[in-house]
Amino acid sequence: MELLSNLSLGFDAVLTFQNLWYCFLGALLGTLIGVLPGLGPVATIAMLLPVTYGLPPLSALIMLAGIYYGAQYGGSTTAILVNLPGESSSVVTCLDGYAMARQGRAGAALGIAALGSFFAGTAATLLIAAAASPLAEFALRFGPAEYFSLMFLGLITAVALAHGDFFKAIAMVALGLTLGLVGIDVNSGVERFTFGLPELSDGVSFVALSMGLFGVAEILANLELREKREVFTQNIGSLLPSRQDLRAAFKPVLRGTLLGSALGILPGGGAVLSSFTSYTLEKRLAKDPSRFGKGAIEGLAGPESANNAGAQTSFIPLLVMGLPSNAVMALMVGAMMIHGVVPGPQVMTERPELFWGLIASMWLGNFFLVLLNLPLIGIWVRLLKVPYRLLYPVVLVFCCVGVYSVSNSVFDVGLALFFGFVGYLFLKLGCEPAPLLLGFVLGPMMEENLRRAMLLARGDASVFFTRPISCTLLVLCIALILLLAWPQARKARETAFQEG
Amino acid sequence: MTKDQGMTHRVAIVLLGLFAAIAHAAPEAQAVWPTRPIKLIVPFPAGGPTDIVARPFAEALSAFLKQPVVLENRGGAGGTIGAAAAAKSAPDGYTFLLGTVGTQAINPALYPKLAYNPVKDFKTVAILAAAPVALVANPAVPASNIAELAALAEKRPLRFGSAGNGTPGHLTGELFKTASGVALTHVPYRGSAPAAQDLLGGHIELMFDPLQSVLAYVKAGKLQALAISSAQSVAALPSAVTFLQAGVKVETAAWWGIFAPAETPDAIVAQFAKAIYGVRDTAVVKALEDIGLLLQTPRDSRQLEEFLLAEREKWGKAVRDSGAGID
Amino acid sequence: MRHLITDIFAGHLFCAAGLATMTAALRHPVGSAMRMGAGIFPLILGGLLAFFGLIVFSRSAFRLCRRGSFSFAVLAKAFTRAFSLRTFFPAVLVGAGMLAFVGLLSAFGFVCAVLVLVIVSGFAHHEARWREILPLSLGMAFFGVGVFVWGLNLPLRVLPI
Repeated sequence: MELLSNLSLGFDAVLTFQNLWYCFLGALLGTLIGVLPGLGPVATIAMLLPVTYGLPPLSALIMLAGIYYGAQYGGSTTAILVNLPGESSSVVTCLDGYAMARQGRAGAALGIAALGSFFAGTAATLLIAAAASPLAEFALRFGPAEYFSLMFLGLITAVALAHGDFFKAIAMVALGLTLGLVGIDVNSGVERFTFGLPELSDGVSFVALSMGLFGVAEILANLELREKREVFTQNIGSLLPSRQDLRAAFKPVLRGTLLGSALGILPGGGAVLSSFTSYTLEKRLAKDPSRFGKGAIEGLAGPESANNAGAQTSFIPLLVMGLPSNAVMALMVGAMMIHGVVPGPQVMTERPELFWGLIASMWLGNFFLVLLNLPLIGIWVRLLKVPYRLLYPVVLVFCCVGVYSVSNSVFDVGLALFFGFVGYLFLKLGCEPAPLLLGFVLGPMMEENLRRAMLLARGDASVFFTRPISCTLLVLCIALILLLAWPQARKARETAFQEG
Repeated sequence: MTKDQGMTHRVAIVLLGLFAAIAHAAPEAQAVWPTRPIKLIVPFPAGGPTDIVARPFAEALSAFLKQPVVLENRGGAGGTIGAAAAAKSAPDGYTFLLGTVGTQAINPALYPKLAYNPVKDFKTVAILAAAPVALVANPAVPASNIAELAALAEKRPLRFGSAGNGTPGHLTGELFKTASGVALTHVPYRGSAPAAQDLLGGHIELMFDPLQSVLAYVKAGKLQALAISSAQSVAALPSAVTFLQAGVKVETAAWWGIFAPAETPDAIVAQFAKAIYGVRDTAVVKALEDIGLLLQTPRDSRQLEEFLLAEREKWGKAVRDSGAGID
Repeated sequence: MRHLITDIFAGHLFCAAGLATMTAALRHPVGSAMRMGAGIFPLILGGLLAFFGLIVFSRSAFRLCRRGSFSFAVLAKAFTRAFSLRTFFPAVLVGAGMLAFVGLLSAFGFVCAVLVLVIVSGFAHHEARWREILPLSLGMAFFGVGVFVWGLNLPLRVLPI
C-alpha cells in the first residue's frame, strides 16, 4: 500500500544517528522548556534557529518539531504541579490536574497526562500519514463564517467549564472577551482600549494574563491562609496511575484524541479549542459532573490527549499547504525558508523524504517523550514535598523570568502582577478565571471572523446558516445552550421552591 | 621620605595619570571598527519575512566583518517599538536597525504620533533587498490578466485580501484601484498566511502581497499571478506581467534596509555599507533571489536620500488616498 | 451568607466594568451591517457585562433583603474584613517583590533583581525565616543565571556593573 511505502521512506530518512539524536534533543529541550513556565516553544525555536543553520534541513526540522510537541508534555507538568499554564492548551489541565496534585495524586495525574498524550500523539501521526491531503483540503473550506460559528461553539463550552455560578461564569467570559479586544482592530486598523501605550497595541500578552491570573493569584490566595495548612497534602499516593485510573481514563483519551485531531487541522485557533471542548464533553458525559474541578481524572485525560493530538495535526496545514496554523508553525515556515525549503504544496511531491521523514520523526519523538517523562514523575512529585514557604518564591521567579522572556518586556511582568491581583480578587469573590481566559483567546477571533464574514457577504447575515458547515456548528451551539440551560432552569426552580 | 621626594612622587603620579587618560581616549577613534559584536534590531517577531531577509545577511556579514552580527527581535505595533528602540540607541556603530518600507516610509503617514522620526533619527546605510507586490487570484476566478479582471469587476463584486491595514500589499491594492478604476473591496487579515488561506479556499478572489509569500503557490499552480508591481519582470517568475506593462501606472516594492542612529559617524556607515554590498555574492545571500527577492545594487548616500524621499511621498499619498489611518 | 455578600461586590465589579467598556466603545464608530465598526463588539460586550452584573447583584440583594441583612453596615463590615491590611499584607509584599524585580532588572541586572524578588516575597509567608530565605535567594540567583542566561541565552544583564 502506498501508505506503507511512504512511511518506510520516512523511517529510512529518520533512522540515522544524527536524526535520532536531534529528535531526542528536540524532545528533551521541549520538555524542559515546557516545564519552565512562561517560556514557550515560540521563544525557544526563535532562539535556537541560528543553531540549526549548520544542520541539514530534515534534522533541523525534526529538532524544532520535537521542541514543539515536547513543550506540550512539559507544559502539563507545571500546570499539574503548580497551577501555571504555560500555554493556552494547558489551562484546562490546571483545573483538575492541580486539584489532583493537592490531593496527593500528582503521580497519577502526571502519568495519565503522559500516557494519554503518547496515545494521542501516535494516533494523530497515523492520521497525518494516512489522510494529510484530504484533511488539508477540508480545512480550506473553513471560511470566516465557519470560524465564527466554531468560536461561538467554543465560547459556549467556556461557560460549561465553570463549576460554580452560571451567571458569574458568563460574566467572566464576557470580561475575557472584552480584554481580548485590547489592541489594534484588524478590520479597521484603529487602536482600542490601549490608553496610548504602544506595548498594548498588540493586545494583552496571553502569557502575562495566564501567569498572573493562575500562577500569581494562586500564590496570593495561598499566602492568605495563615493557618498551618499545607497547600499540598503530605501523603503522596503511588507514583503511577492505578488500574482504576487507567480504566477511567481510557474512553476520555479516545474521545480527546478524535476531537483534538479534528480541531487541530483548522489553521488559526483550532488547536486551542481542543482541550476546552474535550473538557466540556467529558463533563457532559460523566455520571457525576460535580467531581469536575475537584480532581476528576476524566477532566485531565481527555483534554491532555486532545491538545497533544491537536499539536500533531496542526502540522498538516503547514506540511500540505504551507499555511501555518499558529505562531510556532509560522516560525517553522521561517525555519524552512532559511534552510532553502519553500513551504507549500510541492514539498510533498518534490521533497517526499522531508515530508515523510518529519512525520516519522513525530512518532519517534512521542516515544522519546514518554521514555523521558515517566521516570521524571518521581522527581517532580518529590518537589511537592518541599514546604510551601520555600516553593512559592521559586515559582514566582520562574513566572517573572518566563513572562519577561516572551518579548523582552518588563511591561509584561507588570501586567502579570496586575492580573495577579485581579485574579486574587476574583478568587475571593468566587469568580473562576478559566472561562475568562477562554473568552480572552476566542473573543478576538470571533469578532474578526464575524466582521469579515459580514464584509464578504455584503451585510447579509443569513450566510451563517446558508453555508453547510457553519449551519451545522450553529445548530450544535443551540443544542448545547439548551443542554446547559435545562439543568440550570431546573435548579433555579428547585431553589425557588426551597427558599419560597 | 623627604618633602622633595614626596613632591616628585606626586607629580609623577599625576603625569602618569594624565598620560594614561590620553592614551585611553585615543584608541577608540583609531581602532578599526568593529571591535565587538554588532546588534541588529529586527522590529518584527522572529520567523517573519523580515527575519528571512535579515538572517542570511547577518550570517554573511559576521563572516566578512569577523565580528558577530547578532539579531534582536523586538516586534510590536507594526515595527514602531523596535524602530523607536533603535532610534534611541547609542550612535557608536554597534547598534543598527533592520528597517523596512513599513517602518521608514509608510508608518509616518499611518501613525499620527510616531515614537521616532524616520527622517531625523536615522541614517540610511544600505537597502538590502526588495520584493515586488504581486496580485494573485484563485484559479477559479475567470480572469487571467488585468483587462479581464476589470471586465469581471463590472459583473460581480471582487474582494482582495491583504496582510493588514497599511501593509505594502494593501496600499498597492489601493493604488491599483485609483490608477485603474477597478472596484475592489479590501478585506484585511492578520498577516499573509490567513489571507492566503482564505484565497486558496476560494473565500476571497484576489490578494495583494509581496511576491515571496505567494511564489510557492503560483509555482505549484494553486494560485495565478495576474501582475506584479516591479518596473521590470523578475527572474523568479519570468512569465509574470508588470502592472506597467498591463497599462496601469502602479510601481511599488516592499523593501528592507539597514539604518543607523542619526549620530553614527559617517566613516562607520560607509564601512558597513561597503561590507553589505561586499556580501551580496555569498551563497546564503544569493539564495534569497530564489524565493522572489531582488538584491539591491549599491547606492551612494545621495541616491539613498532620494530613494527614501520618493518612497515616503508615494506611500504617504497611498495612505491618504485609501483612508487607512491608525488613531 | 458569605457568598451572597461577595456576590454583591462581584455584581458591582461586573457592572462597573461593563459601563466603562461601553463608554470607551462609544469613541469608536459603530458602522453598518456590512462594515461593522470597531465599536460594535465592545458596546455589546459592555452591555452584556453590565446586564449580568446587575443579575448577580440583584439576585443576592434580593435574598439578603429577605433575611433582613441587606444593610450598609453589614456590607461595610464584610468589606473591611476582606480587604483589611492584615489579610492583604502578604499580597503587598509579593507585589512589592515583583515590582522590585521589574525595576531592578534592566538597571542592576538579573542577580540583583532575583535576590530582591525572593527576599521580599519570601517574607510574605507567615513562617518565613532569614536563615532559609537568604540561601534560597542566592540559590535561585545562581540557578537562574545558569538556566536562563547561560543555558537559554536570554539577553539578560547579569551583574550591576
